Amino acid sequence: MTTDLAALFREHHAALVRVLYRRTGDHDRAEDIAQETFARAVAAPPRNPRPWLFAVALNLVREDGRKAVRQGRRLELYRAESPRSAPAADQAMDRSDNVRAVQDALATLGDRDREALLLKAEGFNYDEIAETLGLAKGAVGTTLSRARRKLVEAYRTQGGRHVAS
Amino acid sequence: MSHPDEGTIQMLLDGELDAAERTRVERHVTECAACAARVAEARAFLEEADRLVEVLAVPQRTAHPRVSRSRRTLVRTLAWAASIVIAVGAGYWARGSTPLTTNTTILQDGEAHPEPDAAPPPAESGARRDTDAAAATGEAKEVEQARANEPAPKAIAPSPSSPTTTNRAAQPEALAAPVARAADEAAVGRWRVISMEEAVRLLGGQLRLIDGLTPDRVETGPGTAVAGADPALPLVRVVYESGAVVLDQQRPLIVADARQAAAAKAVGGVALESSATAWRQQGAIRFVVTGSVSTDSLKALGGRVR
Repeated sequence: MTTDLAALFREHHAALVRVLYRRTGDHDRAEDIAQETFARAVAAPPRNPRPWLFAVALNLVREDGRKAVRQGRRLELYRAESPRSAPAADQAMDRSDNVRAVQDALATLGDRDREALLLKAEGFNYDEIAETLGLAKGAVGTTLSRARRKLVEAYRTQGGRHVAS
Repeated sequence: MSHPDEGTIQMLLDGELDAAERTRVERHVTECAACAARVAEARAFLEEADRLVEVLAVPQRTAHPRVSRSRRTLVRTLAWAASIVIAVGAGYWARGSTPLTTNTTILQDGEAHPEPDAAPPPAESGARRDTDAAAATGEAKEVEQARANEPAPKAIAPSPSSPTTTNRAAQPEALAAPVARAADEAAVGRWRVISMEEAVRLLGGQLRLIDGLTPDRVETGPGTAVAGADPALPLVRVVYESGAVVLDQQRPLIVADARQAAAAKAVGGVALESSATAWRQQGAIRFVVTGSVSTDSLKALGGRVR
């Protein structure tokens, strides 16, 4: 890793993992995708690193999600062959109801809305959000407006359900 | 001016309007009660949304991030019970004038959690160490999870066919174990059973496992033992389902990159007489899943490597 890439890592790794964790709800997956993103930056150092890193990482999340759907079918095949497989680890063990309510609320947003919101929380300005997500700058305001409103409304619904359950 | 649209109100609140536009919009808002209400409502949504996103703080890594207190207690209890079994088994073993195998230390260490400082990789940049420390902690957790999922006595089984210490304690006739063990070692050939901790050390602070499966044992062997592996580096093999599925892995010396992963994929790998999927790169680790199940199943299992 060159000095530049080391600096890149120091500057962006924590924020990247934070956005990926908020996006996926899975810390291990967030770390893995962040590592893969930096591995790609090693292979092809970006000129404008911040939007590049986040764009690549968020693309990997979407690609990973599609892969997971395809693998779901294969797992069914495997289960038929191996009835002795252990149950998956309980991912939700230590999560508080409130965190779960927020994650559920966030999951109701469309990809672009959710990602715009998470990037804004990392201090991205509208230009950077537009570049990272491939949006027109003029669309960022309405995207954020919709995302914020929907998150809050979904949380109020989801939060009520979690408290009640 | 006309009423500002939603996007413009967000730009106002986010400080994205230039000075002239900002002055114009603010003047309008002071004169238009409806727009003042819209701005107030948008500000409330913005502040609450920010507060909600902040709730999702990245969890702090600890030695046991996802293992509940009750589960840890269970592990401790099993480890304690198993240490008694070892002590009794050692008595039988000593009568046969044969030393215990080193594998029993896995159980004795059952309480000793694989801490992240187990194996920081040598002579790399600070940033690299940070990644590995984080990864090592994650892997330590996985090791602990795998252990928690498994009855402790099973963890000491040196190989599927040799008697465990538990069996030795319960069945004194198993004092013939040294013979059985020698046969096992011959069968295993160049592979040697090691502890999870040693595997983590060999892989520079990480160990990949198949999510949802309980490992039977972990072994190490030379890189020449498996096609597609780097012959200069040791292999770590995690054995599942009595050898029906194995996960071979190595830690390349060079930082992972996409081209390397592509090259690895082109090499492919075949270890057992049955099918194998291609080598894959995940983080700093290259791995391949091999076994006597269908290729589809192997691919699915490869997707569950964490």
